[in-house]
Amino acid sequence: MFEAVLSAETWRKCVTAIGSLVEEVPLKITAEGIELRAMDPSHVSMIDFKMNKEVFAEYKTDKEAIIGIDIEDMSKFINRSRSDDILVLKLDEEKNKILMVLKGTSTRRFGCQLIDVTEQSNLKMPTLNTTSKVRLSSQAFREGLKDANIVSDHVSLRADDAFYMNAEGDTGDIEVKIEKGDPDLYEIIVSAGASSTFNLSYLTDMSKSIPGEMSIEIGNDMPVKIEFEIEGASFVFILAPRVER
Amino acid sequence: MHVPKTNLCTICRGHKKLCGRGICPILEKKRIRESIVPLINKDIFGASPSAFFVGDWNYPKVLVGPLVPPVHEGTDIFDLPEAWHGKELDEIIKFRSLLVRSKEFVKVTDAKNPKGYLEKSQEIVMSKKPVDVELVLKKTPHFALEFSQFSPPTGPSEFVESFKIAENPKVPRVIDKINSDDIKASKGISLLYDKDIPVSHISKLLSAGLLGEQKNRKLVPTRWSITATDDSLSKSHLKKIKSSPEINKFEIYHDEDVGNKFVVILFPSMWCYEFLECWLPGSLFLESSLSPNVISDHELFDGRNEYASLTAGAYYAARFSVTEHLYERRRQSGALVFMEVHPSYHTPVGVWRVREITRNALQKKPESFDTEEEVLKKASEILSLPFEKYREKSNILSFKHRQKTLSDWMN
Repeated sequence: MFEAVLSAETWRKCVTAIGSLVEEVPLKITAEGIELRAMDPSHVSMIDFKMNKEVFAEYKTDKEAIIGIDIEDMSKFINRSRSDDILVLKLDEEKNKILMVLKGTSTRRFGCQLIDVTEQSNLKMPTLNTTSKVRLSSQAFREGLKDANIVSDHVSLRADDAFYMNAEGDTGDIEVKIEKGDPDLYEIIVSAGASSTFNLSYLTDMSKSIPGEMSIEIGNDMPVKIEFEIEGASFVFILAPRVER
Repeated sequence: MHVPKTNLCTICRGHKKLCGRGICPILEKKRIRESIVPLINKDIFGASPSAFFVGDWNYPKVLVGPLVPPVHEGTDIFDLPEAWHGKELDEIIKFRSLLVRSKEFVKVTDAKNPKGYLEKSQEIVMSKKPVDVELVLKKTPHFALEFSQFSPPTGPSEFVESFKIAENPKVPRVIDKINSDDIKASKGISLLYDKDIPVSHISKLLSAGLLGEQKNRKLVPTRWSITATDDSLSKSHLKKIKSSPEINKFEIYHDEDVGNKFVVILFPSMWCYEFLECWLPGSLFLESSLSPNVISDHELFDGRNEYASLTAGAYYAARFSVTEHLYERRRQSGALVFMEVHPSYHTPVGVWRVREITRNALQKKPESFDTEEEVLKKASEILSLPFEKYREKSNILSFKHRQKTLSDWMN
């Protein structure tokens, strides 16, 4: 038995953020809340998502379960919700479905077929020796990626006296600098200067659904770790770097 | 037809080949004109190869009309690029110039409830075989060959006075059924493809507003319909390809036609695709004195969100052929497609050549190798441009070499 109640809008935002990275995920239901960890099929990026039971208006489960969800299908359903709908999530073990009941001016029920995801259910987090951490506005980060996209399909993230985004291509080069005192920078901690380069289309997809504030941890030729929250749910995105030969 | 912007022509006058082309485009145009002009007047009676053109100018009120040649015999291949492989460029241009394009302004949304002119035109498009048509034009059209980057060239065009279908069109049952169904265009496109309707015919049906949910039916400009069909079919192939096992060798395929050389490399990987294009010096869009430039578009496993703006329709046409091949094999791979355009391609004939040459290449037996190095060496032997030029521009090759995976940080 699993039944949880929350705002449909919160769930929609979370599903969109998860869907920016992965399509098929193992969602783990525990007494403490729900969580999932998955890599994209090319093993270049990873998502770690947790939503504690406190975030839900109601949360009931009698045992742990891992269910396979096709995020694309689920987002089609949840995108049909209205912003003030209340969502009830229910597991229908018999029919192998997760039910989404939307309560608003009427009651609508969507049954989303579960899928098999045995492969990824015991995924460990990678060990990262990052040396810098930056907290900044996600809007500023997205704008920097758009700037970089003018000249290249990859971008270097660098932390030193400030946070830099650099890109270089045939047509020119671009540098975005966000430093202490800028309204877009909330915090910068640098124990040693760090710089790594990343694929822009991955980073752009990741950054799309991040609201408000985010933190970025970087090292030298090291995966980047991006953390943020969506209405109480915590997200970690990790992306492997691109290295020069 | 392309006229070089240089005073070389006045010195050469078609004899010295100073521009580097094997055939003088100006003389060639004259030759074609002389062979065709006597056949064309304002009354055209001929077998229309279920051909139909929708312009994009003045959208949403566009110029549309069937293409009718002033001849009856052998017109079945005039609008069927699937049958053009191996034909000389001049032959293709000649029969395309015979296709007189009738035109009339029609609102694209009229396809929901077609009447008169549009309804009759649609009957022609649905036919499997050429349909005899009596066409009366407002006046004798001026000889002209009209080109598009996407669609094959068409002959002279003129407004219609009247037109009559002189026989019953032979409509395949599946076309009739899908036309009367109320299903999404993308679904209709896939069903027609599964029933072996040629891709070029499917795109004409889409263009003529014969596919899609009844309430949404619209005329689609020919050039958009070609890419929309290629895109729609490859997306439906890709759904199945992405869960198929990867190939285990590096395979290379190649083919050449109408001055276009294609090399396709399939390699063990999750789905990813890149189209690299190069116009060689002396070819249609590059003067012989200039150095060639490689352009490319690509997609990774999740596909693209934006239109492939550099290589445009060619990107989607080649992707169609690659996905068709992988789908038939029930295999997944990464794919690199190289297109090299040589000076002998003196007149643009449309994006069909990309689809058909790639398709033809992939039907041959490949040479297989164990390593990327070997397969790229083979590619460099086939392509004329030094391979380094492609390597510098290839996003997929650089992604493949430089992108790390997270497994390096997992113990």
